[in-house]
Amino acid sequence: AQEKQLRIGTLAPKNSLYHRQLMALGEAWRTAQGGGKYLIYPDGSQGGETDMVRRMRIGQLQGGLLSVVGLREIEPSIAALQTMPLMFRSWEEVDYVREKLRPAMEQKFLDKGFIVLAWGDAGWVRFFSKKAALRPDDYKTMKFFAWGGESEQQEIMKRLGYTPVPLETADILPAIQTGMIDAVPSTPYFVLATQIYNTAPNMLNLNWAPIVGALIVTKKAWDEMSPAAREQVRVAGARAGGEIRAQARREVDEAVAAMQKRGLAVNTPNGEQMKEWNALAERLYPQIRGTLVPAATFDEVVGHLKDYRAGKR
Amino acid sequence: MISVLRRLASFDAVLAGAALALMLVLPLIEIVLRPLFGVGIANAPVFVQHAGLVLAMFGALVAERGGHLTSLGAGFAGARDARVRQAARWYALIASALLCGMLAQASWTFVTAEMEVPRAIAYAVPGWWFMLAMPFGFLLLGARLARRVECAPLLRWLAALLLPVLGWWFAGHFDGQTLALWPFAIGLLLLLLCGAPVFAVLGGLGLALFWSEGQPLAAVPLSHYQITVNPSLPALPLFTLAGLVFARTGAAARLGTLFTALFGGGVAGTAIAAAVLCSCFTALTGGSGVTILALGGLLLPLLMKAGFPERRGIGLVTSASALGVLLAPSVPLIMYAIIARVPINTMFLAGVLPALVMVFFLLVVGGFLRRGNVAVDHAETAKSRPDFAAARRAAWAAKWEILAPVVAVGSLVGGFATPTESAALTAAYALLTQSLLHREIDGRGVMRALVECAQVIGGIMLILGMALGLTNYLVDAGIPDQGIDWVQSVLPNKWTFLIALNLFLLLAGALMEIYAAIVVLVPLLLPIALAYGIDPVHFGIIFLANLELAYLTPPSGMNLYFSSAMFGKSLREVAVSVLPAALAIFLGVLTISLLPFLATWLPSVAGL
Ligand code: NA
Ligand code: NA
Repeated sequence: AQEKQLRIGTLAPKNSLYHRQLMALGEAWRTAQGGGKYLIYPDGSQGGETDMVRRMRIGQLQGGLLSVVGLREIEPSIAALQTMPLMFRSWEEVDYVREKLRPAMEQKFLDKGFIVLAWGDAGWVRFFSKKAALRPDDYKTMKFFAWGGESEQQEIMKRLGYTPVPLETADILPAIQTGMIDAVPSTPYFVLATQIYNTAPNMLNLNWAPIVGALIVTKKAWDEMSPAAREQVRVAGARAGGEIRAQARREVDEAVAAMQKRGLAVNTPNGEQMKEWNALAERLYPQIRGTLVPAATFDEVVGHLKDYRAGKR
Repeated sequence: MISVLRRLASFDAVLAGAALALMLVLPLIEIVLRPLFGVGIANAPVFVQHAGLVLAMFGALVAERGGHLTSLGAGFAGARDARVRQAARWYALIASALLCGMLAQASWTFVTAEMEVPRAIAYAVPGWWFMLAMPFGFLLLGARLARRVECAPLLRWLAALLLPVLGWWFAGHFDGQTLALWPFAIGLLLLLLCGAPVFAVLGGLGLALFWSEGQPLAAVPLSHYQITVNPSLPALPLFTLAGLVFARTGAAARLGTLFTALFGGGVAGTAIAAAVLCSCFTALTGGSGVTILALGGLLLPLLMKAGFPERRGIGLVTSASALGVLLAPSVPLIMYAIIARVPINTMFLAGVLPALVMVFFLLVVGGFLRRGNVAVDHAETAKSRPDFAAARRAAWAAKWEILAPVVAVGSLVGGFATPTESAALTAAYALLTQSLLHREIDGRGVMRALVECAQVIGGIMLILGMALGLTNYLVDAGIPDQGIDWVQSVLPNKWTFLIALNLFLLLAGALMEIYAAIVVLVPLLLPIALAYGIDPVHFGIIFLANLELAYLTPPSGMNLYFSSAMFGKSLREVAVSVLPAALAIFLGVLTISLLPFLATWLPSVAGL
């Protein structure tokens, strides 16, 4: 018989916390399994997230630690957690809604042939730009980075009077250096790591949307594991998810602090400007509902948030 | 009837040419629409990238039809003994056809996985429509190769039908099982020596390696898909198209006049003019043998008139046409930037000084500036001084060609355009200036240029895709990580590593196809270089400088083949004639390796 294999891909950097958590999970799997071949492919060495999902479908990879960009290739409704701007005001709200959606979401992934082992985050998306900007209208004169693959998102931006420039993640740095784009929506950690802040030294202090991710394995690989291995992997997955979420919360502030030391200006909108941002979000929602996020999931999230805020008050 | 059949046979050219035309036009529309209306074509870049897949597969079919699929020379298929020759040809064609069938089946597995969860690219067009080009293209490629087997017509048709199907069945039946590597390895080595197309050998090796691990074969076509739809890749065919247009018009002659007027017509002047001109032209045409074909007939007579013996003249033209890989917007330079994930414009700037160093080494160390045994005609020396009035006239005549690099590099560095758009702009510029202003290329000529470009790029992309499948296996097996540990245990410091790197690349360059070398070796060697603290930009320049040399090293040195065809000399004669130049270039490579600032200074000045 062939040696048992578990191959996991991720965009997370080698030796990062994410990578170390995956190694711990692999150890747990190997111990329970009594050996086997466990390989992690960090740094996107197996391609972008879309490619990794493809490699899972043909059976080359058995799992991945992916953000919503990759996860929505499997189940589009997952976009509800990441593509609804200004919907969530805090990590607590994200956690609450995610916990509510989780059973149904995990069932949807199972129906598509994937097991969710852990849920994680990678920080808040904020706007980084060359010139300081505080109001929604300030950004209308700027060219925005947009993911090449996400045409609906670009359509919406264009309709609202913004100028998206579809590019790949790897093109962001040269594009902002040459002036092809002037603004990048991104997590502070990514901006720090890629040194984009040198060219775009203005950050809008506004949590636009969270970056949410999950560790998944294919159902085929899951079914081939012994019950003991499944149990161990579940426990290790839950632990990894907890660690990753805790890290994401720290990382946003740490990254911003590190960049501030090197000249990043943090621009916080005042009450008046916040109202304009919220008004923009309200105009966006009807366009997102039913296109980027399935209508039913959209309404569910809104309902859960209403409950949460009512209970909190 | 015959004409219908002929038209059917050339549908590959029509499809590939149309895909290329689309890749040219869509980005141009985007450049105009974006600033004017803020609204473009939905997902135009993704459309363009997928057109690249069609271009690659059908361009490869055109290349096969014209006998232009790259191989490592004829090998046994060129043997003296007629029976050996015959057997080698049969083996190469039959095995290649079988491998194409296997690749078609693996592609089909990939496409069906995609069909189960269709994803629209834009306007409700699912991506798998484009992906079908892969199984379909490989089947046709296999059938066409099989039809070349020399036997009775009926048998040939039967072979064309059965061999790919047999390969398909074999791959389908054994996919997911573990097969031993060594029978494939021996068969493929023999295949390479029998003059089979490089892509078939690389693809076969990729399949065999995944088989040896029991991993799915669809990983190979998936990697092929991944590289052909890479967002930066459309820049390759478009810059190549621009170069081909210039190569097919009077542009070469106009630039030749300009450079000889600038540097004078004596020994030194002509040599400098030839080296600079060849470098610039290779930068535009992507470092294939196109430069030799376009300029060889022009420059060799000029060199001989200046007093060069024929052999030294051939040596200079052949070797100078290998330089220019380091100059923007050369195709290998862009390839490296894509694979290593370094900004393309940084690489463009990094290449400038090393390119000059290489030209310097070729001319000075290679001894092409010395009078030596050159017969000096004193009447000629008087005429040989630089003539600036003539240069001004020539510059005016060649003004549109001189501005081409400004369009290419300027639009990119100035931030008006993405790499794809900049390439489209350059290609359109070449077409418009040569057709409307110089009137040297007509509608039919444009079509010919499109098809010729599709053929060149189709052949290259097929090799790239298969090589990336091979690379993906290496990543899959965790070999780069092991490689870093091993190399670091053997080589104590950066300098020993750099020397070893150059020797290794010299050997690899002699044996490997150039684009395959970039795709396979960069992902393997770059992490090691980074571990020694070498800048990725500097590493890229070292790598590409070695590739320049690789164009001149047998058996895989492409320039030797082109030169031998162009000047009607045997391969041995050409190889001997470039020997002094190759030695000089190797010294240049070492210099560039040991002086990192040559590569990193300009980008740092530009703030990149
Ligand atoms: Na794109
Ligand atoms: Na070579």
